[in-house]
Amino acid sequence: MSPRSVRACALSLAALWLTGCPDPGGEFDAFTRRAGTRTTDAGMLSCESAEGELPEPEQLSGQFLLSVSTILGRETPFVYLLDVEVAREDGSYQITMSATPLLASDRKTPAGEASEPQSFTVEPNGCFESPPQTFMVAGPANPILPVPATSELSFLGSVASAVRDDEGRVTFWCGQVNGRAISPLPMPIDGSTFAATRIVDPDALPPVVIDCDMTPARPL
Amino acid sequence: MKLRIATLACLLFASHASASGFDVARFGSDQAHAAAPTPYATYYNPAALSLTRKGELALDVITAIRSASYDRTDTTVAEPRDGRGANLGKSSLTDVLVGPALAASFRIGDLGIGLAAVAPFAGSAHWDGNNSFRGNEKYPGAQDGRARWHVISGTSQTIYLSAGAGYNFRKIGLSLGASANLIYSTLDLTRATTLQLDDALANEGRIHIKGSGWMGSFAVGAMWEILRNKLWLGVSYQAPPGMYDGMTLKGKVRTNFGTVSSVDADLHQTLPDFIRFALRFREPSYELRLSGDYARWSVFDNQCVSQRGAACTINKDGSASESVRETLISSSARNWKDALSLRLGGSYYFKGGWELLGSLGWDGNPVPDSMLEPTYPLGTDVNYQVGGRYRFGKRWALSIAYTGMYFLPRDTTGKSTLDTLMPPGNMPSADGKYTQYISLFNTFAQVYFD
Repeated sequence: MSPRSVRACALSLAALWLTGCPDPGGEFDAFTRRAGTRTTDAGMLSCESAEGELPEPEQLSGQFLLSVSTILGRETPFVYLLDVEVAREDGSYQITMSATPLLASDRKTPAGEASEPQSFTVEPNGCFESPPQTFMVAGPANPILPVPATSELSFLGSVASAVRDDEGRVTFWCGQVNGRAISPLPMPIDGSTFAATRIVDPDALPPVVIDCDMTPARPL
Repeated sequence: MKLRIATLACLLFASHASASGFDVARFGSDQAHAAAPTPYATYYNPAALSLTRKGELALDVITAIRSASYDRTDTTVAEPRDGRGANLGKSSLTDVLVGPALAASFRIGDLGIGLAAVAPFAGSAHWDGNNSFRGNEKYPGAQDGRARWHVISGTSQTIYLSAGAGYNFRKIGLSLGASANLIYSTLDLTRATTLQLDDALANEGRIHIKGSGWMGSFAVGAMWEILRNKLWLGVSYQAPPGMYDGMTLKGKVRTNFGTVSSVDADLHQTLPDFIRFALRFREPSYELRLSGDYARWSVFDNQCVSQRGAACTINKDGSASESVRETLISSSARNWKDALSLRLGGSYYFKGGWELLGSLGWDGNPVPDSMLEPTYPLGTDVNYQVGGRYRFGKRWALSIAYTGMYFLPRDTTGKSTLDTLMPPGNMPSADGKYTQYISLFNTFAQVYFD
């Protein structure tokens, strides 16, 4: 029994209205000490070490298959169709993204509306950190539990490190996702990852990978 | 199995002796029921307050020793090879708990007034761990035992601060009474869970739910003196805590799914109302008693936890509306059924102030096989009580009684439907074999101020 619960019992004893000595809070804390947390830097990019040049806007623009792999379920990512538009004006490199959630059951059928387009600026070295944006998915698009989920996410990465094909077109980019789940259960999800693979043929979507190491998602 | 000696140090209302469900209204032993003129009539039947002595103070200290076992025989997600025995197998529980119940009554003519502080609903459980997984780094949750998917450690208490009055209409031998209850209820529980609401070892996390709240209720009763100074019939109705809107306990929920979070939350549940009845026949040298209650446990359909201020209605099949699912934190399906309890007993009065008392009882089962799980390892029980009472002069009396409660063993293998409910109302399977025995000691002191 923890000192805290001993104190609680003593106080209760004095009041004659006494709670029990089972210590549910202590059991929770003990598990947390044993299990730790699942934050990881697997596959993270470091903008400090990012190499390569920024792709031309038309080389990054297009549609990607986006996976957001949260620390709550690494191998079962949220999957989206990601529309990307890039503009370079007055020396500023700006990305505008909009994501449409896909059914968790097949990872290819749209399940809900596209998110509001969000723009953010990329640093000259290719690094970016998008401002927090609210993402909502319907229950069928939630791969962890089929209930509606809302989260506020910020994407961090470097387009300078993006994988390109022979023509310089970006075929894969990735990075870290920070933020928090808002519903159904509020909790931080810093340390999650994203991976975006270019869609060449909309009828044959690429395999879903979950991080910069191109770790495959758990098969359906 | 570990005897939780530490609990001896703590007075606790959570005696496990049940009439049915986790109704633990056994204060006053066999001498307190719906036709008994003791201060505890404030709770059992306020009409009987009109027949109490001019002044009486009652304190019953109840000591309960509970032993129970749960042999989990099925899982929702199969155990991995290196996790064999983490989810399947036996757990046991031994608790020693002590709780007081205090009441006083005063009578002026045909009007009786009572005050009581009692805990008619309570429960407590701390299942033992699984030493074979102690220190296991891959499955750090498994050491908390095989019952952990439903409860690792938990307490719940509902304390009544009651005031009541009864009036005796002498000409017709009828008493009527009513009481009002100010109720404080708490719940504190930790269990294992996953975000997928199954029992997959690889995804094991924890949820700790802690909440409390104040609410009200009432009781009304009648008592009829069928044969003057010989035969009484008492009937009472005890409304559910929180009246008919259920209870909302406010508190916090902490979760650990690889990341720890804490959120303000509401726990929603509805506890039953009761109809109590008792028949008491008294002769100078003996007394016979038949008492019982009917508990409407069918209203206890779910223990639902939502974000603060949100609705939390879960359908019996586990489904919920879109808006509820957006703010739901946890759902524990109960779907219990109404239950009846009966007790037949009596007393024999010896010369010199001695009384021998005893009874046989039966408590019906409110928990269907499909819903049984280790948080409330209940069922049909048969019980007996033996005890004695001695009067020290005109002012004091002390009773000591022992009650043994044998719960009929239950095997729900293949019957648990907790994991086949629709999300978000599903939980891991609780298939298994359940046993339970409770020893209950009443130390009941009465002081008279006639």
